[in-house]
Amino acid sequence: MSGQQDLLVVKDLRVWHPIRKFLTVAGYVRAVDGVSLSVKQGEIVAIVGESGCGKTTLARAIMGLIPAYSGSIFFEGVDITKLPKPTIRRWYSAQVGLVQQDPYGAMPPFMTIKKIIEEPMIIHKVPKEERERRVRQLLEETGLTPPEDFLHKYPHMLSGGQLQRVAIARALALKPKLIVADEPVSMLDASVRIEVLMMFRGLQEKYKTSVLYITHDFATAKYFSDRIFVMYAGQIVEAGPSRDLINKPKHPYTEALINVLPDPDPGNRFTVKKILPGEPPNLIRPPPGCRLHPRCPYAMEKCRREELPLIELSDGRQVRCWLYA
Amino acid sequence: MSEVLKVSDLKLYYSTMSGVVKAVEGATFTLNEEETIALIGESGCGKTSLARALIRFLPRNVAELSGSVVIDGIETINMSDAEFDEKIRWRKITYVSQAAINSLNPVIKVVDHLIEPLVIHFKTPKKDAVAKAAEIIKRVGIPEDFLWRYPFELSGGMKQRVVIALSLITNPRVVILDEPTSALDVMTQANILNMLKELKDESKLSYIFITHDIAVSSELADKVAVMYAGWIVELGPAEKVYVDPMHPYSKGLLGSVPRLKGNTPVTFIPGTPPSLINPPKGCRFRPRCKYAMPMCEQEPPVVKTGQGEYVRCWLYAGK
Amino acid sequence: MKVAGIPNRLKAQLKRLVHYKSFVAGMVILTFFVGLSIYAMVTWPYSEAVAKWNNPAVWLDYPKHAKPSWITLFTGVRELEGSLIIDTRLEAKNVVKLRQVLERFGKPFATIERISIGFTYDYDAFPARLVYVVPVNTTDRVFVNMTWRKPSGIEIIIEKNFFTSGELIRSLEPKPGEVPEFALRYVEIVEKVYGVRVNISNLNPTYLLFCDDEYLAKTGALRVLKGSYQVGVETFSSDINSTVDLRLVIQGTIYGLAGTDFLGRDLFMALAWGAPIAMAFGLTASLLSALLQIAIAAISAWFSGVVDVVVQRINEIFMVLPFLPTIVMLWMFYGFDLWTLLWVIILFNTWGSGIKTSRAMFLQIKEMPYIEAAKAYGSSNFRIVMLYMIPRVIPVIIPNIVTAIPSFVFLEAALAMLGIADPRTITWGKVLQEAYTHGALLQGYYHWILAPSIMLFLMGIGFAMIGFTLDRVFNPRLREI
Repeated sequence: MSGQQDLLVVKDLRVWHPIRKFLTVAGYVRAVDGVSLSVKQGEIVAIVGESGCGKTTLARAIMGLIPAYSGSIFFEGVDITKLPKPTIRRWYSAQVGLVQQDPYGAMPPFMTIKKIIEEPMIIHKVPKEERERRVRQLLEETGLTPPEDFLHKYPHMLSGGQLQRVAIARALALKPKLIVADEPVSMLDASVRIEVLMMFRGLQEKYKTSVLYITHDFATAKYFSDRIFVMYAGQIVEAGPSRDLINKPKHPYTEALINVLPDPDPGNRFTVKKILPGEPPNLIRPPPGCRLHPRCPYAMEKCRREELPLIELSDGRQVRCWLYA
Repeated sequence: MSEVLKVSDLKLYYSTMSGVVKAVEGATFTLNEEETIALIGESGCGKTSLARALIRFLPRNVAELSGSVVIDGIETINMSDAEFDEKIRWRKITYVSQAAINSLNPVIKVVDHLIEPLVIHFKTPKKDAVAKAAEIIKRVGIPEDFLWRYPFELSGGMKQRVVIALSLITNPRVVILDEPTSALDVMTQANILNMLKELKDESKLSYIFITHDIAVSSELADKVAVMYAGWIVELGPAEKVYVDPMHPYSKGLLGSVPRLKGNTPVTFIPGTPPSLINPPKGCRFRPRCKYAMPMCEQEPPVVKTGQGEYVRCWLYAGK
Repeated sequence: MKVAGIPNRLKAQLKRLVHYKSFVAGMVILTFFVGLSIYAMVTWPYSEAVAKWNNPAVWLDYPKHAKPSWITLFTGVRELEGSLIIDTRLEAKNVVKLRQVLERFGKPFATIERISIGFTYDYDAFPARLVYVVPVNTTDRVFVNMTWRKPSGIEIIIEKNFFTSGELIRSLEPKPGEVPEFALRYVEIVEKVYGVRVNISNLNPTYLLFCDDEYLAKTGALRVLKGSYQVGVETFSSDINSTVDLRLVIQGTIYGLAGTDFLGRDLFMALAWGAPIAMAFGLTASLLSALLQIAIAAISAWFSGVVDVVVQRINEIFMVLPFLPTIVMLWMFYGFDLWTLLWVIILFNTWGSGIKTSRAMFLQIKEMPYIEAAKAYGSSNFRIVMLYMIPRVIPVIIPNIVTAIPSFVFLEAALAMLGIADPRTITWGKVLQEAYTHGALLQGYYHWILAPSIMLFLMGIGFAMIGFTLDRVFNPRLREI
């Protein structure tokens, strides 16, 4: 995988939401604060973190839906933070697809499945015959067979799992180079979840699409993604190949998160989980130094003062912790 | 160990415009003191309906409610709602619903939420009730001064603790926890689960733990009831069900849980759960089951596999 | 291609509608009004209807304040429907005309004419009034002696005078403090025959001509004397070419399906024409203001920022502007017809709280994930507003539009009651307003008030039933399980 080209490179991205008071800006919510990452062609990269860590904001910035405060997002070498809005709409929106969390909210309830999948193609001026063919093909590829059964249905007639397949079909309609999937299966039932993810993975390989998989769930990330970036309080705290990172977490935060996640095991009920005290910090005034230090069991004096960059370790792993400096 | 809850052949049907929904059929299980039973299954399998039938928290369109529900030695199935309110609800059994976090009125102080059942159902003097609230809130790990705050000032995890405190304040025997952690972050979830474990040991509580998250269910469950399309298809001790499930559905469900440890491949169950209005003839899992036989077109037998354990499947009939 | 499939879904929903009794009942009422409208438009085209309605001359011979004729089905009393008209110029039946030229020394010097009209009156109720017209055509003077002979044989002279050329019109109706001459003569005759002097003050003089004299003398009360009546006119003129005719109009007490008003106008015509006007008015007002509302609200919500601020401030100005005083003032200054009034009402109803509500809806829709998805795949602002936001509120808006139709009809009626009405157009509100100003209730002309009220009420009920059912079908969350 290392030989492949980077499709998406995010460099020191900051997405700060201004807090306006009257006409002045009183401060910023630092939802994404200095994130750098890269996604290679055909690679699935997971961004894992708890709610409020900035992963969804990062996804929206990468989609070009919200402006960056500073930093750059290079897509095939083009910095999309510098692109004017019409260019994003005309060009970039066809290069990236989006799969959202809530399958029921992600579809206009008044459109048929056919129309829903067709919409991106209509907007990007795909000829009609091509669109018709493509919709059927996509329905077949996403396992909604036979397509005739689904073409003229409305979203409320489908189950959550089926809707998420439609969402994936819609995201793939324009054969984008990158798909941003924001918690695509977290609202689905366990048995369906894996089915959808496997189907998604199959299509991703077929289309050679890169996927940015945003999730709070390490377990699915382990099976679905090639690399994992762990986010905490607007920053990437650890990155590395999925299985490696989950088997041997380096950062205290990753370690704690993975420790509290159970596997189905009858022994679980006799153990008490070790948890990090406290709650994630306020993003308006994040703590100085390492953002985890108020909760970290290994916190040192240095952690309270100095912020540090991601440190490159061997085998493609990175960590933002003084323990490894 | 004494039995606090005995449910036999519980049936709950709803009538809707499109037909009768067979939400729960033939549910049978017992729950002992200090024991937790986990009800697991996919959404729409009837776990919440079952819980609501126990606590009589039902919509108006119930078409049939029958069977037997014995709570702490009292048969409740034929009780009027008023009688149930007076003798059972709050006193014997409480319910933490899925939406409980959002049911706290943001402009009523935590303390007033907590003392309400005591003042209204037990006619406790307000002073004693407040003292009790102070005690209970410390037990769920919230500082006492939070009593005087409003719910909107609390984080999601804290609200969940308040809701749990509210269900404990009347010293019930059984607490029904309906997806108590599914809206929370992993860390908070672990924290709440830790707390629930401690509370259970301290207060001799029994839990009915409803969740769609199989991994989380193993954090509390002594017994597991796997539900599918309104049926309990398998009931057994945690040691058995998590490690070596018998029913094909339980196998599929366990197999679909991605594991953090080890490299077990994940599988999935093809197809979707059936409609509860027109369930398939015979075994309800038949259309998705890879072991389906012609026999499965008849209603599967309930095969006893041990003391208070059973599996509802033709595969084990006659063994 | 655009919004394909929606008709399919709509068809399914419409099919479901038929299961609701309220919808069927509403449709029956609506069909009734549509039928009535078609009938009105076919019978009297719009301009003809307006011209006819507003020309009192057309209605002269019609009975005034007549009740609907079907009332007699319930009372069992035979009443005269419409008017009994006998014109000696037009018909020969029941008319005897004798003309004699008097000669002196072989030269004609005068003419005598005898006209006699006979008719049978065998109704149980008195006619509302008698109108007679005597057209006189002469170069000189004509002496006219007009007599009224009842079936009882009593003969009353009702005109005895010289007339010059022209039309003598007499309408016998009660006028306070005024007793016609013939009435006094009648009292004398009754006294002579029966020896009783009857009190006739405040009586309708028409009744005296039709009453049972014996009964009146004995009881002092009035009763119709059935039988054949003879009206005679004797003329004498020195102009031998002079002609005199008689036109007798006996106006009844019942007329048509809906009765008549103070000018004798057929109220059924107003009720029938009121239906299409009310529906057109209500539907246009409701539809246009709802469409404008969602368009403005969608734009305001979607673009936010400056657009939103400007729209909201304009809206707030309209919200604090009191509707009624403003419209009264505008009417005083400009005075407008019904269709201008319609635009003013649409303007006032578009702006106001409706926009706030729709905007709130759109702000919610704007946050829906599917809007973000649409942005992500490159939809333009216009496309998002038109194809993603507005269709979402259509199911909410359609029932509202239907339910709001009668409220605009009521508003028109209410404004008419305040005198803010097109003076020429026929609306139920105008009928009500005229009934009110003519004291219909005080005088007992209930049909005049009830008929338009029932029409308004029916229209309200009909549209409400359809609207509420649509709401239950389109917005199933409100449907009970």
